[in-house]
Amino acid sequence: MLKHKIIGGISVAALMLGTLAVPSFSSGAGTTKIVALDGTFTGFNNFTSAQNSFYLAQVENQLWPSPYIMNQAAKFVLDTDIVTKAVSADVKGQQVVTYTINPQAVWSDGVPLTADDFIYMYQASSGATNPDGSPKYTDIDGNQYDVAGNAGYNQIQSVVGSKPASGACAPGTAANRNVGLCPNGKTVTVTFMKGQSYAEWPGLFGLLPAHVARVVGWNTGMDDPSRATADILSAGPYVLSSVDMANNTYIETKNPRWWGTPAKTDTLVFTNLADDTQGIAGLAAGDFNVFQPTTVSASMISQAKSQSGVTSSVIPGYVFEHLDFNFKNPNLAKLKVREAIALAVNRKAIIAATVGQVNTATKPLDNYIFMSNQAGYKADGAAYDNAGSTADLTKAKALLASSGYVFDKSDSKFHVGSASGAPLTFQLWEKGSSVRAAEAQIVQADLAKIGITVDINVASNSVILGTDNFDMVIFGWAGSPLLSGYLNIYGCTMTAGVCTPNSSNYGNLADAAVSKVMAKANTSLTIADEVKGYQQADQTLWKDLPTLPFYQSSQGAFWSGVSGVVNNPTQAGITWNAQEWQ
Amino acid sequence: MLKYVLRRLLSSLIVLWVATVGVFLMVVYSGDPLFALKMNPTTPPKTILIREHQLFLDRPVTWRYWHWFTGVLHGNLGLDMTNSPVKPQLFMHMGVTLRMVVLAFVLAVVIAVSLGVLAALKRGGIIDRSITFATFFFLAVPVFVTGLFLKLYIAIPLDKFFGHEVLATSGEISPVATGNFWQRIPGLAAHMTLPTITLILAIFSSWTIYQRSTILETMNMDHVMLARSKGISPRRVLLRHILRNALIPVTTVIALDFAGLLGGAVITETVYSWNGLGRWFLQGANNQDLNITLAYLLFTAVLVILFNLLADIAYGLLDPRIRYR
Amino acid sequence: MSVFRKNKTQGVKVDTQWSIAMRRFRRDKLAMAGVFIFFFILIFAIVQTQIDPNGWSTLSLDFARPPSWHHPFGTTTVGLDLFSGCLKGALQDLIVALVVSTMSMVIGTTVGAVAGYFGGKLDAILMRFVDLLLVVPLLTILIVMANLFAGKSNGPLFIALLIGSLSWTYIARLVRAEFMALRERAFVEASVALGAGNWRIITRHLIPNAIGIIVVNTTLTVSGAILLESTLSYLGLGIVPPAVSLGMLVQEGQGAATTSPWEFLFPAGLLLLIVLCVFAIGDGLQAAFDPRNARRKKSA
Repeated sequence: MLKHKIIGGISVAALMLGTLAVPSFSSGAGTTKIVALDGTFTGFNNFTSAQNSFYLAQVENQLWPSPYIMNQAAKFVLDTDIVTKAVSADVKGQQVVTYTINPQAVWSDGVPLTADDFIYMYQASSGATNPDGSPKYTDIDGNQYDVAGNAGYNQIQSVVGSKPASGACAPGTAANRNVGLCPNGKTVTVTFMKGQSYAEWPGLFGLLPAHVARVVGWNTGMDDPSRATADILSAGPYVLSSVDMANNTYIETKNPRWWGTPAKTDTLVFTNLADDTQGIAGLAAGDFNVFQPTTVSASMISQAKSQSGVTSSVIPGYVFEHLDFNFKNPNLAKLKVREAIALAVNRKAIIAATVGQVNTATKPLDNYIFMSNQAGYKADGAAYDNAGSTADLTKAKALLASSGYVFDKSDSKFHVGSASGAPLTFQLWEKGSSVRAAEAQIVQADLAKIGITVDINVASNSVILGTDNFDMVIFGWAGSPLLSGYLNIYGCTMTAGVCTPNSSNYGNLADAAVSKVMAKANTSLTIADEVKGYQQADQTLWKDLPTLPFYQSSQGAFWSGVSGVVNNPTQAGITWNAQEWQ
Repeated sequence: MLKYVLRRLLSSLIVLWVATVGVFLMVVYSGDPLFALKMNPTTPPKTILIREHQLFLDRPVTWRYWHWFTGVLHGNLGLDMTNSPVKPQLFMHMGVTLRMVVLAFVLAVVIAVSLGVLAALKRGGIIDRSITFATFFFLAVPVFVTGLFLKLYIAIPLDKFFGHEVLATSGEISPVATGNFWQRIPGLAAHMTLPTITLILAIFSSWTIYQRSTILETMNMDHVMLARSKGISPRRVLLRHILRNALIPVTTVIALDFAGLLGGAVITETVYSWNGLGRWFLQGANNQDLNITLAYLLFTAVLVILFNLLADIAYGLLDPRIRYR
Repeated sequence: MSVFRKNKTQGVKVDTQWSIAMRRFRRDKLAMAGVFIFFFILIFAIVQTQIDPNGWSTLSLDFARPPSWHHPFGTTTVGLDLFSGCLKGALQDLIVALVVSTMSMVIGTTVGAVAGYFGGKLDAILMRFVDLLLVVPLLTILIVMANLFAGKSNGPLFIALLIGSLSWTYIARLVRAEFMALRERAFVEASVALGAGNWRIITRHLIPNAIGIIVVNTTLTVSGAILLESTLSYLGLGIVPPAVSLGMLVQEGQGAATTSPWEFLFPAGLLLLIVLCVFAIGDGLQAAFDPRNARRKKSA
């Protein structure tokens, strides 16, 4: 037994001594900046739906190029290191975009960036089919390409290269399906289908090394961590130099073949932080330098304020919270009922209890499509800004009364049909976080003021949505500066004379006219036209009231011991300008 | 003896097989693993079909189980939802978890046995009362409360006091740890201290209580009283008569509890953000990832069966009164 | 022969096992303290939730305020009164504990009794079933089951049923062992010789003798259930807002623990207190029912 005590004592002593000797972190030569991500991934092809994640994108921002970068103001900026010129023009009713690849652009193995990289990306993403319905392009194992999104690509007719750096156009190979397309060209001509212009074309053609993907495969070829440093080539300021998937740690060092302005920091390290609530503490302790939580909380902000040396940035983001109405409920199908609800729910109170603690400048979101900090935003829903005021409550009650509901003074509720009918009740669903619960409680209390009963239920989205198991539901959309996805959310498609709601249209709004407007906007030639089309759609939507948008969530970012960080609320994320950090 | 072990092993394997069927059915009916994908408005319908095909969601449930089962018999644990092989992930995370669990286990045994003996010997005194109070206290505190408390109110102020990070609160290793194994030990220790202490505090209590009561029981037994009345020195009585008997029962309790340690590890890993098995399983279960859940189940069930068997064998070997038919 | 009534045979008071144990229990100061505190919390919680049923659902604009006269435990990040929350949460935990302990006791005793008394094939089948439930750690199986039912309902009753359906195994094993030992005893043989049926023997002779073990281990199950439920809620799988439990409050509070420590400390402290009380009670019961304690009693 004495032996046991000795062994125990020594082990504990060793642990204690060890802890005193540890430095905060050891780095190699040169400067190192560490980024903490609160998510993990298991493979590297961010364009597949299996691997597509925000966190992987943060790692690959500095590796895989794209012609345009989206800056913090959600504006596309041409990346002249990759593409020196990009022009979109209307040629005989078809949109044609011409890219001029930077002559110096090469992948980190020395192979130059060519039209083949564009051609391959188109082949993988387009989803084109042969006349018999079989996919036109398949991966090396014969399977279809698993692609996370094909918006825009499915409107392209052809991608052809021209003007190689030197010599003649390469003939191309049948295996690579680029015969006659001049794959080694340094100019790329993308032609869209007739009447299928895509105004958001600058968001297309994020690239991966085609010559590698064609060999290892698109679907699963880039999932092997042991080959990652060899296969995940870079055409950016950094190169992936170390992959430790077991510990979710990835190290990027300066790309020796980078031809543009060198990055200011020598080494970038990406590590995983499982628990967001420890983010600020980690920053203060020097565990990492940059931290962008998925959801920023009020306590994070107050912690950051109390720590000297921690900078915080909170700006409106693209995730927005809203209350959906299920049109299949006959009471909610009446416009006046929805208007009454919109006049009663005090969105400002909801904001105060939730996101308002994080960003005091948050206002109710008065647009279905545009975020408040997006060009094109118009407060089309301003009429409902002061919902909950006495005047609005009176108006709401009047609307209900004129829709055939009878108000019973004894229980202060509206009843269906007659005073003895069932009280007007809706099942409200939310997903079981204290924030959503608070929002639900406010909605319940507000609607009680106009005589509507609300029962709150908790379940996860997969049970509620898509099965019409709800009357009203509160959830959030991850919006985007790219507008074309909203057709899926609010639109319907004409099939056999009936406008069937699209896949993400959970509330079942069936307004064929507004869907037409949005569909037309999706084929605009310029962004200006697209914006106009969607602005028109938004005005119509506020007459339809398919949902009641609450607020825009804020995107927070925190950093310490590094300068040059700019909080980017779009999908580009915080590492979009990591080459500027020092 | 051998026949007994084999019989137990066989029935355990059958039980294990039934358990896999049960868990399989539960996960399959837990919901649609592709729901998040479907909810994304930019996902093309074709992609959903491709992923459904990859995950065998378009096949009947019985086929899916048979496919998994035959795979396991060949040593293949399948792919997770992101098409990444499950077996390497299992071993990867196993190393991380076992590192924490084994060390905590060994230290906890040492501490529990020592404290139990001490409390029994000084029964009724202040030492016994403090030890008893401490064991009940830590038995009552949930693991996550201990972990959180250590992390929030001990580690962070301590780090502030020392000016740099003495006790790490997040992760199992510093991301920029360089150097060979020996140079990395201080960093490993810094990250390992708090989770290990948390686990030890979570598990030592019941063993201490049990050890203490076993010693007290033994002390009251006839052969010990006889030894004492013969005038043998207390120390010799302790070592030769009491401990030899009293250490045996706690061995079986400890062996049976080892698998339960893994449950405690799930929480500790969540609190300290370790990339261990517990968190891996938790995320997999939340995503309705079939292969990850089943792989974790296999791992824990095999451990439970193994340690139960070891406990039985150890008890049979150590206690001459037990004979297995 | 009921264990609960004192038999007056020929004018002499005969102490039953139960009354002896209760007398010993009453003298155990720690156990009695546990009982008092436990029931104080229970009654206080019941009264408070009756007086102020909307205490936990009333949103105020006092976000994350420290304890004050108006809010004795402070408020949470969304402005809810933590005092009402803690008490309501404690009540939910106690409901869970009650349901789980009843289920464990009933199912565990039944299974253990049947297996221990009848033995043979029935015993083998039942024990294999118990093995099945024990081969996977409880937390693991609960996590999987919580996800299975994630969509349907997360009320405390449901969680209690979930935990209760899996935590009777320990009691079953102990009762079985006890019954197997008791079965061989002389008084059982005598009953059989007198023509008593199985049911009568089990309920009137065997169970009363095993009551000590059953009661003690039920209290252990109670504390285990509370801890398990709070762990599940901490992982986000048990009770979720707007329902409340102490584990859920700890989960919500730990994120803000450095800026508003009361959000974490009060629920965690209350949870600890309740479980300690249950332990004290359980430990007291164990000592009370332990026949060996009789030896240490000072002889008259």
